[in-house]
Amino acid sequence: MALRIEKFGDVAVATLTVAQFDAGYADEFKREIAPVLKETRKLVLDLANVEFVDSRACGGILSCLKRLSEAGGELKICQANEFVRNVFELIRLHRVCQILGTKEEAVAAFSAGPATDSAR
Amino acid sequence: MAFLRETSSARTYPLTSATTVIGRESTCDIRVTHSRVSRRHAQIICVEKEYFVEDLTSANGTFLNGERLREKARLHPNDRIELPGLAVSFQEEQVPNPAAQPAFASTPEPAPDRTYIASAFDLKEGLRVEVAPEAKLRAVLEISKNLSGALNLETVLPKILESLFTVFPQAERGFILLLDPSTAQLRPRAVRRRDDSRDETLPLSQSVVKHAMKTGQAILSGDAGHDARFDGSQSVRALQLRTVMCVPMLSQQGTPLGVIQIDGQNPLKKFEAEDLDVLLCASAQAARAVELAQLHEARRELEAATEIQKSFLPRERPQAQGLRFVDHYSPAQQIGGDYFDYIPLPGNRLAITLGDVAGKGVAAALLMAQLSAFTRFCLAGEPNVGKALSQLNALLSRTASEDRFVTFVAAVIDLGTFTATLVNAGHPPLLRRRGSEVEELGADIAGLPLTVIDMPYDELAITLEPGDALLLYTDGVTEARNSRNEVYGLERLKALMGQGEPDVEAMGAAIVAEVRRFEAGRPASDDLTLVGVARER
Repeated sequence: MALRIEKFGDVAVATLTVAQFDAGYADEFKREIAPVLKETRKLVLDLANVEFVDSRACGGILSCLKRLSEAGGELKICQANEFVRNVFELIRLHRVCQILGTKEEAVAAFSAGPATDSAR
Repeated sequence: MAFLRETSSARTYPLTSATTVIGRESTCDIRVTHSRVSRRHAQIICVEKEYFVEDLTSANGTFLNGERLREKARLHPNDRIELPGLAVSFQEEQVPNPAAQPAFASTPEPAPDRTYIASAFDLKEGLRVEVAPEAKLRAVLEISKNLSGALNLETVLPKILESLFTVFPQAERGFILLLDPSTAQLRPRAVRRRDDSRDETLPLSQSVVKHAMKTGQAILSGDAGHDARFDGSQSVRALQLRTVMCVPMLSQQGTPLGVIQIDGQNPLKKFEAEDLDVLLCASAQAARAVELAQLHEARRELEAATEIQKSFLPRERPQAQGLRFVDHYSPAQQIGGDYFDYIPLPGNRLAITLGDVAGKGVAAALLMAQLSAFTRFCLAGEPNVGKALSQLNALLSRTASEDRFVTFVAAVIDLGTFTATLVNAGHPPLLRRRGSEVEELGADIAGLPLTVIDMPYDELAITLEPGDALLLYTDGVTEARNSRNEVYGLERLKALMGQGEPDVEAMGAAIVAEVRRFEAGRPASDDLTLVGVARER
């Protein structure tokens, strides 16, 4: 299993279990996240284990964002390390998707209403 | 299932094939040794579940319900057929839904007892050279001779079958199925029949083919034919109508490429285990040819994509009063994921655009072709550059697949006033050099990469003073890695720009040279593209 899925009310938390989120893992991620995206409109990606992301990983995360926003849902990210955070900032992901410190904060951010970070 | 039953005994003759011939000859399906019976006396034909009896112009005639047959007649249950030495009645038994199996044997799974595996051995165990060495040598030579110089599958596959028909005189039909890598499905790619018989069925035994692919085993099997009426209660071996050889073709790494299946229907010339051995040898040779042809085709596809890409990269730098340009483009692989362009726009403006399509290969090249066309279209039609980028995003989103995205940056320069309007979609920031100061521009106005979500993009207006230079680049520059896996980085790039050559062409060349030096011979993992523009002093 590439993803561990937990439910907190109507929020799904998907924890990635690999350190290198790259081309070799992107397809697996896509396959395993697909059923989750069908069921939920509130998704947290927990990147605590992830040390590295590449463009394919960004593609995978961006496609989650795409699917969720089409369905009127929302994506939040938590526990991204500095490298991963820098990559996300480079592609401006942080402008439309809150990046939070802990899983609890990310789950709580949904009940706190729309993300202020992503307001444009 | 239908059968004939002898009136004087309980003996039955199942009617399992389309044609059942009755006569004195040893090849007849029902042999009658009476002296007044002709060699081939009569036949029972099955056409779409209906049975007919026909006299084969015999000397002494065939009788149906006491009347001599003049022409082909439809059979009904309990009809009596008589000829010298044989008196039978026609019987039909209801078999649960025999029509469920279509004529194309490629779809139904034959019941396991309908096909038996007479011989199977593992390719991985290597070839058994001691068996029929001359025949093997002949087979290999035949294929090599026939295949010399053939490089595309359309030519190679029929030639393989042609060679196999020479090697195996008893082969009546041959098939080559190749694995389609994109769908992981086996597809028939070549078929050959020895005669021109109008046999429309494709006698592929899916279970045998799948078994061969899965296990890597070569299989010699007997098969009762794909006759839906055959209920399996008779001994399969006794009714065996054809023998089939099925061997996988393995790549040099041992992964399956596809299978070769050949069959013969003459029960007197069945394939033997030794033939399977020879076919194995031939298949190894055929697999090499297939592999070579596939490589060749992949290269042709690559070449086509490279051509597409080359066609939309600019052929020359623009001429504009007071401006100088530099560009550099080097793909890491044959097809790059980078794009750049110079686009003359209405209102005496010129756009410099640069993008990076996630992913490589043909699909990325096609997305890049769209990016190029749509960018020109949107920028020419919408004077507000931010709005043009939002339109471009909406257009590309409709065609791009889910996990592809494009980072994109553009500077639209007014050639009269030397003001530039910048937009950025998830791309590394533009750099402006003014004197020895190098500044990142547009971090605040940048949006997400293209094709992710519909969103408005902002723009930023700047002025190019005399001597100012702008640099657009892809992350192939900043993310180039040295042997210690350190990245070149934005700071090194800014430092080089600040201290380096005042001339923009020399600046571009110096950046490329330093990045290459930094990589110190390591093959670049990403495309390296940059475009620079400077206002003359």
